[in-house]
Amino acid sequence: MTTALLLDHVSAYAAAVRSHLVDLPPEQVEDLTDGLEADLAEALEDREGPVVTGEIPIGWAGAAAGIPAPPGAAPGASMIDLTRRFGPAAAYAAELRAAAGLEPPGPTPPARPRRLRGRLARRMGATRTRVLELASGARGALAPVLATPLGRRVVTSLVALRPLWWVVRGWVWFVLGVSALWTGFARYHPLGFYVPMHVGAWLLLAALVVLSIAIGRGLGAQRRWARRGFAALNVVAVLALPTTLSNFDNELRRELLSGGTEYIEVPVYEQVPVVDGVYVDGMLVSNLFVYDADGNPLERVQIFDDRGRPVRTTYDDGDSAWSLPGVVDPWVFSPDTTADGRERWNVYPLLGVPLGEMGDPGDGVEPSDAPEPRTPPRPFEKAPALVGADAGGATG
Amino acid sequence: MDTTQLLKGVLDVAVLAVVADEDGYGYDVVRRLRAAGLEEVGEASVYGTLRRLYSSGALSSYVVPSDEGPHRKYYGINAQGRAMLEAQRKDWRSFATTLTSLLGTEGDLR
Repeated sequence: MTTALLLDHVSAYAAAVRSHLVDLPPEQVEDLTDGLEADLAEALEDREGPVVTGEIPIGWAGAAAGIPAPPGAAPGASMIDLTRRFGPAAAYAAELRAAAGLEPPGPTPPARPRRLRGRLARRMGATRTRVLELASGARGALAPVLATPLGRRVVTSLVALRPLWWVVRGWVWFVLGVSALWTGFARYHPLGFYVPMHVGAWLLLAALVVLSIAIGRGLGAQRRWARRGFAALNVVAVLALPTTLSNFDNELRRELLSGGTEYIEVPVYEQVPVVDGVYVDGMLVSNLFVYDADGNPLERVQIFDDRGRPVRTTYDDGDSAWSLPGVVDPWVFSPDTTADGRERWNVYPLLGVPLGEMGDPGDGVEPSDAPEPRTPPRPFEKAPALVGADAGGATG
Repeated sequence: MDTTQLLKGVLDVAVLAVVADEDGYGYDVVRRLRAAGLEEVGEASVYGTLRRLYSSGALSSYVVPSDEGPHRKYYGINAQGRAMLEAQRKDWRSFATTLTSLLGTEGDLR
């Protein structure tokens, strides 16, 4: 545990040192820094080692602020600032280079700028240096925090939480992997992206978590390509974590809200109400007035449609009162009767009685006393005569 | 006096002497130098010196893998290194003698 913790710090510091040697040929850098990690790690764990000016007792960052190490503090139990133990990586690299008898890096890059690879490597090296310097700056900023007992406890707790991150990291890789492999899967089991739904998925998740923990414990720390690859995977997991968590939360919420039930399609045949009546300009018509060719009003005209069905304006069978334009009292209509005694509602104009003259139901007024139905007020007494009509008198 | 400046001139022979005693890896050499009294020796300086001596053919090297961490690079002295150590030892003795007599004994200056 302590060793794995140290190795991460040590690897980062060694990488920072190498980044200051990028102007040298790769073999020379390799030769110069081969075994550096082992030396750094051992120097850190060596509590007996004399402390050079500017260094801090190994494994105890708080000591630099003049705070004595608490009894029983294990080496590596607190956050270690390697730049304070070994100095800035740039200075360390310069010392290494000088002692090895190599030229310090010149102002102009000695490598041939024509070679794209060299240029790329240099640019990447510069970027990496900047990132590492930022990281070391952040570590430096931690120093005052580490000087307080509370800050020390918080930082120590965070360091102790690293295994939790390894597990979370494995899960994020699982989510990303499943999303990449089975895009169509989401339609049926959106939650299956986040929680394994079958044995294969469980195995995949387990494998990734185990891999993540192994990397966290120092797997591949000796090989540069592995270190770089794992670092990239780590960055991917860090970047994907917020989105993954928020999506997972959404899916979980949806699943919980629906109570885990599945939706079954049940056909429901809606009864579309048949709309009866005569409409003019979207408005239900209560009565029709018929005029002959000369424009004279006609009485008791029967109207049928093209199929012989009676055209009715009202379907209330005389139960409702209808407002007429310009008339205060609404009218109640009544049917006409055919010769064989059938009621007909398609005889226009419908005859009726104003509601006020009907009397209240149950007030003793007999049907025989009810007023005789009459023609309601016409819209006009006479319509315009048609062309060719005999204006003199009615025909037939 | 800044002893780190003095150290620079004699680090080669000091490292050769330590490695001649017994094969060692980077930090092991640092520790033995410090134990011998060179407490202000810089770690990176020792590592760089080891690499330079190796490049110049005075040392041989071999890698020892480790179960629990990164591998260690051991250095051992070879015939050329022993010859170099012998020559530098003589140089140092004559230099030290000269300088000791030049500086005289403590308390001479009044």
